[in-house]
Formats: sequence, structure tokens, C-alpha cells
Amino acid sequence: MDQTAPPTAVAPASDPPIVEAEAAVASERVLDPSEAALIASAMASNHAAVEELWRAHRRWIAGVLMAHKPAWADVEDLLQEVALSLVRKVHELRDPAAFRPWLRTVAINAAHAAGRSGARRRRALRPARGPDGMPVEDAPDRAPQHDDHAASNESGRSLLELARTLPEGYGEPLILKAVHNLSYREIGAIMGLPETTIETRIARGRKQLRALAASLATNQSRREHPATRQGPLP
Amino acid sequence: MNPSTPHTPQTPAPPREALDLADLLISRVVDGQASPRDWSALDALAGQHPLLWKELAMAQAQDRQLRAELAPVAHAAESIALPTLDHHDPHQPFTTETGSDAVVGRVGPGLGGEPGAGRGVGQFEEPSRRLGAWGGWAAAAVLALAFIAVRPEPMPRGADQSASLSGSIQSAADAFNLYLEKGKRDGTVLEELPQRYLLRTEPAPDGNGYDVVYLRQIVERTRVQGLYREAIDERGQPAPAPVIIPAPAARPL
Repeated sequence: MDQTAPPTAVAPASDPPIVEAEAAVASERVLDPSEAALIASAMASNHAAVEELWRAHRRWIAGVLMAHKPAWADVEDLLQEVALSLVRKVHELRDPAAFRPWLRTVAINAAHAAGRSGARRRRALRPARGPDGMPVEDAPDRAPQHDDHAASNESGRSLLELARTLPEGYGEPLILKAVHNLSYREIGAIMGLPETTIETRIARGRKQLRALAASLATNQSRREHPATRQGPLP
Repeated sequence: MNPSTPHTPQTPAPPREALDLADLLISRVVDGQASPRDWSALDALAGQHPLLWKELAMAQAQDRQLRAELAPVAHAAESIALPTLDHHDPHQPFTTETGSDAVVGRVGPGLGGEPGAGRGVGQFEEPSRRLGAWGGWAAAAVLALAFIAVRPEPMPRGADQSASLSGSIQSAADAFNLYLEKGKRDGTVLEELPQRYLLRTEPAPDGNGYDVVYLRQIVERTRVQGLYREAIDERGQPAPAPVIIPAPAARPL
């Protein structure tokens, strides 16, 4: 062993690409008979059934909205839009087993539409100007914003804000688990993915969240306590 | 190597497979899904990499924090009620369960929602429209509940009460077929829809094939004295409003 060799940095392990090879399993949509009956009744325009479905599912819909909406969009406004779409379009469904994935798609579309309309609104407005007369850039759509209810870590960003920055496919199952304590199977039924895939994504999402929080804490610590320089100045 | 730079011994990184397994086990513990075997496996991994316990503690703390941050969101969701559509909207669904005048269905274009439509509730054009309007046995089950106080009357047209029942009942299938046959004779059963929904599949306990649970849909017809839809009265309270549907032109079912 070479005693004079410098320490070798250990390259961080990168997550392997997610391979959803079990698409056939995802297509096997299994429904509880009572839920199937309720959805079928809602498809037949029974308003009481639609109401019961909304009460049973609105919480996880809020989780989907939180995972996909721009930071500035109001989740209650988006929930209202999703509820309206449910009332207007549930009768167009052809398969009760498609209800949860369909409702998730409605929520994601509402979140993305809010982002697009907000971006158009900002472009149409005259940009604000700073004290020096130069235009001030608007913050990007998904810029983290503080929430009165959110506990901030040392960097000032909430854990929810960090979870929303996770790569596509990791943040949403994590948020769904936390907002409604859904099982892996229920999350899989919503996202159209196998149970094992959901479990893996949640595990990796948590790992990335820990790494993010630790990295931010380290950066914050360095800013607050810069290392004392030793040796001659350059 | 610069002699003034101290040499730091490197701790070998855990194998990548062990990292992935550890993350999975930690996640299961956080979710309360870890089996005794999972705990043993985590304990064995942590024996080689003690920092895993710190990872677990951090994961549990973050899970609690994330749930706390999402609690107001969940609470806000519970306060969002389902909107009701404008009662003048021809596509508004309606449901009433008032005594003997009860029906579940929807008044819309081509189904008696406009004057001169020429059709009424109960007259169908094609299987897809039937499915969309009635939703199978689930809607029929609701109908049954709605008519608890009323004994449905068989349709007077085409009824043949004197027709004898054919065959003997040896099984549930026999009884079901008899129900279809009798119902079609007296006009209360129109048809069984061909589309069936798969609810659950599982291997048969005896290993011979699979047990399949599925939804069958029967279209039935009954007569009510009046039709109502949900509306809002002058006090802003829900109230049934009568629906007038023009008499349809004679047409075969």
C-alpha cells in the first residue's frame, strides 16, 4: 500500500434508474366490492355517492396537489376545482377501478394549470422595479415559500418544501404517506404502480430527504462558523 | 503527498446493496411495517455500520415533522365540501328518495330533459348510454333502498302472470336464470349487461385455477308515480322539485 498516496474521495452512490417492469401488475386493478358499488353509483350520477367519495378521498387529493402545485398556489382553491371536476365528470368514467388514477390526474392537471396561469399572469404584469430602477425578477414557480404551519430546519426551509424538490416520482408517494397514512398498496392504486415500487420509492425518497437536510444543515453551519484559516495568505 | 497534510484513514464505504437494503429496512421501521426478520437484518447491518441507528432516528424524526407540516393541509381538505351544480344545468345529476316517488338517475339531453325530447327515464338507446345512466346493480341497489316503503309494481304491458315457471331450482345459477326469465316476462327485467367488472382474483385454495370475484349488472324497470330532482327552495334549503317529462312516442324497448 502506498503510504504517500493522498486520501481517495469516495464517490457517492447514485440511485439506479427506476424500472417499472411490473406494469402488468399495475393494470390489475383490485377494488373492494363496497367501494366498487359506491363508485358505480357515483358514475350513475347519485350525488350522495359522489359526496361520500369526495369525503373519503379529498385528503389524499390534497397530498397530490401539494406534491405538484406551484408554491404560491392555494391548495384549498385547487381542491375546489378538483371537487367541481369530480361532480361534472365522474359519470364519464367507464371503469370503477380507474377512479383513483383518474382523480389523481384531475388533481395534477389542476396543479399544473395553476402554474401555467400564474406564469402567464406574471408575464402580463409590468415587472416591479427595485430601488435602482432595474426590473426585479419574479421568483420561480416552485421556489420554496415559508408556511406559517411549517417547521423550518436550520436553513429556514421546511421539510415539506424539501420534499417537494425531490425528483419526479419520489416526493408524491412520500407526501401521500404522510398526509393520509395510506398503505403502499393504496398509494400504488392511486399512482398506478405496484406496491413494491411504492415501497422502494418511499425508502429512497426518505434517504434523499435525509441527505438534503443534512447538506443544508452543513452549509448553514459553515456560513455561521467559517473555518479559521491557517498558513500564509495567497 | 504534502508532509504537512495529515493522513486521514478512510472508513470503507458500505456496499451499495447493503445501503439500499438498509434504506428499505429503515423505511419499513418508520412505517411500522418491519417484521422481526427485518429488525434482525437491520441489527446485523448496524453491527457493521453503527451510523445506521442515527439514520433511523433521523428518518423517524423527519417523518413526524412531515406529518406535522401536512396536518394543516389535511385539515383544510376536510373543510372543502362538494359543490352542487346549478339546478338549471341540464346535466345536473339528481337523486330523490321520497316515499313512493323515488328514482335514481339523470335527466339530460335526449333523456327527457328538454321539452319535446320524446323520451323518458327508463327508455334506453344503446348499452353504453344505459350503463352511463344507471350504473348497474349498484344503482339498482339504491333503487331497492329507495322503494323500501313501496312494493314495485310489475309493468302492465307484456305481463303474463299466468306463465308457469320453467325448470326446477338446483343452484343459485338456476335461481338467477329463473329470475331473469320471469323478470323479462313481466317486464321488470330488461337485460343483463354484457360488461362485467373484475373486483378481485386470487389463487384457488385447492390449487385448481383461480377464484374470481366480479360485478354483474342487471337492468331493471319499475313504475313510480312521480319524478323529482334535487333543487333549492326559496330559503336556500334542499327540496325536491317535480320533473315533467313529455310522454314518449311509442317505441319498442
